[in-house]
Amino acid sequence: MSLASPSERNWWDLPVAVHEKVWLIVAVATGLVLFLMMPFWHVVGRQNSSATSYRVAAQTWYTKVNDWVKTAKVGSKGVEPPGTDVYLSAMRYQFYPNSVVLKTGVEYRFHVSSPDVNHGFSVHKDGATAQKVNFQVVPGYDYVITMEFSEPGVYTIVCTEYCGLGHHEMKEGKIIVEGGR
Amino acid sequence: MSSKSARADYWTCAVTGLRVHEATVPPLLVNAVTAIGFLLLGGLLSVLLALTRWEAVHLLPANWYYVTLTLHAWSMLGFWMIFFEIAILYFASSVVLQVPLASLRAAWLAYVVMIGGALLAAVTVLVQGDGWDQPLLTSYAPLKIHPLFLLGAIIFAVGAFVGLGLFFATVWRAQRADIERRSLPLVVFGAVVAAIIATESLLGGAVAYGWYFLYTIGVIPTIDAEMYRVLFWLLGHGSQQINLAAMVTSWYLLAYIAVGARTVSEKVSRTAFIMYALFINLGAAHHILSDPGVSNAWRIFNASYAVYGAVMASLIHAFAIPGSVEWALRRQGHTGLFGWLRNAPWGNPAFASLAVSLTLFGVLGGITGVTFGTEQLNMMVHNTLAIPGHFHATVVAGTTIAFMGIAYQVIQLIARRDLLSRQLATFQLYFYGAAMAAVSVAMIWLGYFFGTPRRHAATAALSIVRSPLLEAVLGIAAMLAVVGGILFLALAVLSLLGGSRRPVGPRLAPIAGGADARSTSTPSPEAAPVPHDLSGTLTLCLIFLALLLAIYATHWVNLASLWGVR
Repeated sequence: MSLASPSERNWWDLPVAVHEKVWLIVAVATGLVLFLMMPFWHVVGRQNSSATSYRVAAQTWYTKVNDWVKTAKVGSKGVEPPGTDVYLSAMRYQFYPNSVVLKTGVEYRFHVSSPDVNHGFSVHKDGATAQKVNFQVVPGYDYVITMEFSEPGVYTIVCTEYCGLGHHEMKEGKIIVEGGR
Repeated sequence: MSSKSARADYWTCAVTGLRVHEATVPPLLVNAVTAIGFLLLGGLLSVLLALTRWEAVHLLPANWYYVTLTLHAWSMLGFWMIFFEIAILYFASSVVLQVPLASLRAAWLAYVVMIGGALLAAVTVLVQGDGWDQPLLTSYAPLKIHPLFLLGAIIFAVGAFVGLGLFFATVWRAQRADIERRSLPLVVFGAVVAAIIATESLLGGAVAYGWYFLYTIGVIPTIDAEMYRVLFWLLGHGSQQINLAAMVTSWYLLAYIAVGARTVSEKVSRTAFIMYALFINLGAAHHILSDPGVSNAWRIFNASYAVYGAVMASLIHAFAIPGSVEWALRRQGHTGLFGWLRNAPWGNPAFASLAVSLTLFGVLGGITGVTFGTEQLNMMVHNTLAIPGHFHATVVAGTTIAFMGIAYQVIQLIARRDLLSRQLATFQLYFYGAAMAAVSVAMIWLGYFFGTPRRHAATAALSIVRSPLLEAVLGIAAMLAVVGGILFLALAVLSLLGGSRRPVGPRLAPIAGGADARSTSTPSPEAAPVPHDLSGTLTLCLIFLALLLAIYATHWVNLASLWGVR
């Protein structure tokens, strides 16, 4: 009875029921499987959270993004990066640049950060369900997320973090992926 | 003060045989009623939110959506939960241990400070105007949050600290006075764990908010936005783990009240509570899995609560509580694999709240919690509506329904009033549970498959895929849930005001299974100390686990279909 002290003074020494013992073993095994899946996927999986980030002051970040855009080719569909680095700044209330043109089969290093507040970096494959990744954009941190698109198409970037009273008006960004080499 | 209290009057509860200290009743009831008031406020606001997220209706303009979301989140996750938990702590210390509260003055001080802080925070976000950002629940630095909101939250936390201190002092004094040196009753043990988690969590929150407050008033020039997120989530997730521990404690209590159950193994159940105290605060890391600034080893260790230490604890309770019910019902003569379950008192509000809360918490909240909290799987759901879907399953379908069940008992046992209608109370619990299950499933589905963002005032304007059908399910189910919530409130208030007065002890009819008051606890040789047949519970638990692993595996398969990310 849960409202009184255990009536047996030696409750710690009482045997555990056999069905509960079975369940305890099952619970421990489940915990181990759930735990081991994460390092296992780092070895065999193609989708893992990025652990690469650098501290960056707002002013430095601002300069870095602008310098990168200057070296890139700005076409009618968007910015074509000169190499495999892509800079994307999330700020109240737009992404800059708001459109980048990439190729399939190339590993790009996305640098995402913000000069003002937290934002979301959520990449959705247009027209598809359950085809999306979501990351937190944190001011002061240059978050490096490596992505390699296997299918051409348009991917929409949505801000998924509340970033102020105009959050819902934050303009979407676009990643236009074209067939590569 | 204390000597006067010690001489004060006790009355004996006719059902449990507990001697209740008269002076404990007013602070306990005032905290519980205040909590229910915030539940009503948060519930009414939820209709406005759901009708806004149902884009065909799109009720609120954006600025009012964010104000409403802030007030809804704080009323529910903050004020309803913490006020009710303070009431549960007073119950678990003073009532269960049959001693006066260590200081009545501290109880009232805690209440006044808490309500003052809560009102300051709530009024600030309501009247601050459009020159300031709304904090929502999370108030991520460096948003321009009104300092008075942060101050109100800090004051609320300070008041809660006083209540926690009073709880610890009362338990301490009761144990010091117990010349037989007995172990704490399981319900009190669980409450102590909840209070330890509460202390950690509120401390983290006070540090985060204190730091942010100094930033907003200009005392410190910069604030590290990621470090703030880590500190905030000590409060944000930690406060929900208080709910978890308090809810599990409530489940043990409800199982006892409903069928006279005692846990199948004191050793195993208490060890599971200790695992909560050790590991569950690591759950704060679940919010940082898709963030910069942390390593993968940090994510894996923390996201798994140190190799799923806290998840194993929940799995243990998930067996021990239905197992204790099975044991009690088998002792009453019910047989067969599920004969005991068919013959369980489904029409009793205590049992109904236990069954609905435990099932929905485990199946909807537990499974989504384990999958969404996995390092890589989190990328698919971070900041989508699936996350509020998960915690509406845990905090509303789980904790709130358990607390509703407890509130019905408080009305009968502490306020000593009969419920106006037990049938209506039972119906209310099933109805509310069904509606909240639909709310949660709609949100989880919208977030997981459609990527619908959370905290967004106009998702129809986005070019991502939408599901108008699921949005409609969310809107309609939320309205039904509020009807269920109002039914709870009406029953509670009308029973308190107009229910017939229940007699006080000596005990009328002992609950089957035997309820030994702490003062008369004696070894009972006729009660078998170890249950032999828990096959029904084991079968149920294995079915649950198969469902969990199937959904978990599906998430990995879906993740593997994405483009390369690392």
